Amino acid sequence: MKKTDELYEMTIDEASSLLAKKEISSVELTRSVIARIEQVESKVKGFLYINKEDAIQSAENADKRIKSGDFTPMTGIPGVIKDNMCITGVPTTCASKILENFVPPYTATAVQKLVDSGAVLIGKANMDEFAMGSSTENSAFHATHNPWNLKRVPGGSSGGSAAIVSAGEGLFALGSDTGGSIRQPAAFCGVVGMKPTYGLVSRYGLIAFASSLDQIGPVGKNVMGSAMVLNVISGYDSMDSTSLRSLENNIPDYTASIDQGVSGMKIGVIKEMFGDWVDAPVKQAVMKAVSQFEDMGATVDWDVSLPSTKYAMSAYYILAPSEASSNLARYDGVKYGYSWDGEGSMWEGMENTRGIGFGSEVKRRIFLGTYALSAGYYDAYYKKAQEVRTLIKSEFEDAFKKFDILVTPTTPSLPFELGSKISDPLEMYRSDMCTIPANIAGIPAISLQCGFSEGLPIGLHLIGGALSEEKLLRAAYSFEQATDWHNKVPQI
Amino acid sequence: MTDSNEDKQILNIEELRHIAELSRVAFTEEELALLSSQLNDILNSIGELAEADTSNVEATRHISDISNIYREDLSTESMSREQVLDNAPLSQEGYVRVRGVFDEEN
Repeated sequence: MKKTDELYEMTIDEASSLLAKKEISSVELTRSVIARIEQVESKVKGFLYINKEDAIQSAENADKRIKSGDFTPMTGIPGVIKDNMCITGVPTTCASKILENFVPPYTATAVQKLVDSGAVLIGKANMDEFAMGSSTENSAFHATHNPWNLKRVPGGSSGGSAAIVSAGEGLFALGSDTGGSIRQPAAFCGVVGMKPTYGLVSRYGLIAFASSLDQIGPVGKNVMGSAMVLNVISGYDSMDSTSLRSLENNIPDYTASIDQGVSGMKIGVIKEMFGDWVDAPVKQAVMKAVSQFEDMGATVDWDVSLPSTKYAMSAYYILAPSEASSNLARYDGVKYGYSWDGEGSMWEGMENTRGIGFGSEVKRRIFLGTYALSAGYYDAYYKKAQEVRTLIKSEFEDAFKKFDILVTPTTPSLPFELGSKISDPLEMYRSDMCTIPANIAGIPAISLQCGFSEGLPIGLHLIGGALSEEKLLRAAYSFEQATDWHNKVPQI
Repeated sequence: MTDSNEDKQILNIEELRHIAELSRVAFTEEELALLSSQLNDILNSIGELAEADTSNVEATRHISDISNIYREDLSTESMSREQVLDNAPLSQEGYVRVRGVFDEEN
């Protein structure tokens, strides 16, 4: 029977098995989640859009599918989509005034795959505007609060996605990760967040920020649930030219070998990611987690050096803004989105549309990227950053000849207070020091809970080689089975 | 990470004004002053990249090894004109309407 008192508290794997056995219905489950939203959303503020009627309708359809026998493990499971993924007919704002009234005429591939699997979509999650930020305070609409302490940030940019899953307002969420935007909020909110290998999940319909770094991934309450979402969203898509064609008929079941343990696995601790800029409680919790891997039969090298990873953040803040300055050129007030309606020339129309429509972090990055790409500076900034990218990528490739998994903290600090870093962009950027290297190298990484300090969760960050998701999930699952951090839920 | 005491001005206000114009983003003088100090902080920090020895290193062009993605040149159904224009701020007779491109004196 049910392991939990309330249906909304369940993980995907628990709910999925009860749905298949018809012990619960998707309508009951979805109603429980909606009741939870009504109870806590005024405090958490994780959503930008909720559609209860459509959710109930989808749940009824899911129950019919289950009754007919034509269903998947995700059929009837309620979840939430970050508001930078397009869904036909559903407002998609990127938490920006410039897209406030945008209603897409098409649906992102990853979202469509979830819909086809029978998952129930409840709404769209808050985020930093255009996914630029580490606290969700850059949303043009409102801030989201950390369910573990409402005065703290949930992290970002997928802060809505992580806070919603942590608060029980959805069993899973999709996020996007350009420099840590799934993993950092997952760590801050005490949930599981995964950034897959670049090209594993189609970016079609994901509103572009930095196209060579962006990747969609799951946020879940546990590792098994996250693997179940990944099973649905991964795979080749002809609509995304960077989608990996090698996966065309070759998508593994990420849950199949998840319980095979870590015996014989080689784990390396990246020493550059444990500098004095990492807070002591975070270091202690992560080190203790690594010892637990040793206890479970993995071999650990505590002193692995990837010297170029210390430059990852600087390379990122050239590459990501450069790509963003180009990607965001499309917001000109002509084709869609906000348009300044004052008297003036075409250029004045464009400049005022963008000046009013974009928030300050977005402008900062557009200017930074435009500067890095402007005549005379290209070699010193963009080309240099791409060379450093090669160094970082090859150091990871060398390391993964010796190790299965590399370990770092997910974040250097505990979740910080709302308002405490918003006026110091550089300080905010440093919250992604440990997560950025995986984006720079295009490799998968996962964050899961490994402890608490001051009542706030701490994230363990596991990095794997390209397309090693099965191994990564197996290591994360083994740790989760050996600990009970993931069973703790916030009191809101 | 650079000590803020050693920070130098990399981007002056006039250069920033030029960057803002290239970016096609309207700005106020207050915004520009704040951005100038923030961007200089960021550029000073990013300056550490100069330390990295990349003398024999090729720049990454793309992170995965895929190249030249082709598909059959087939015509497929596209969105209707109405769907496309639904999101356009201004449209007229089935077209997106834009402001005049040329000044009157030109």
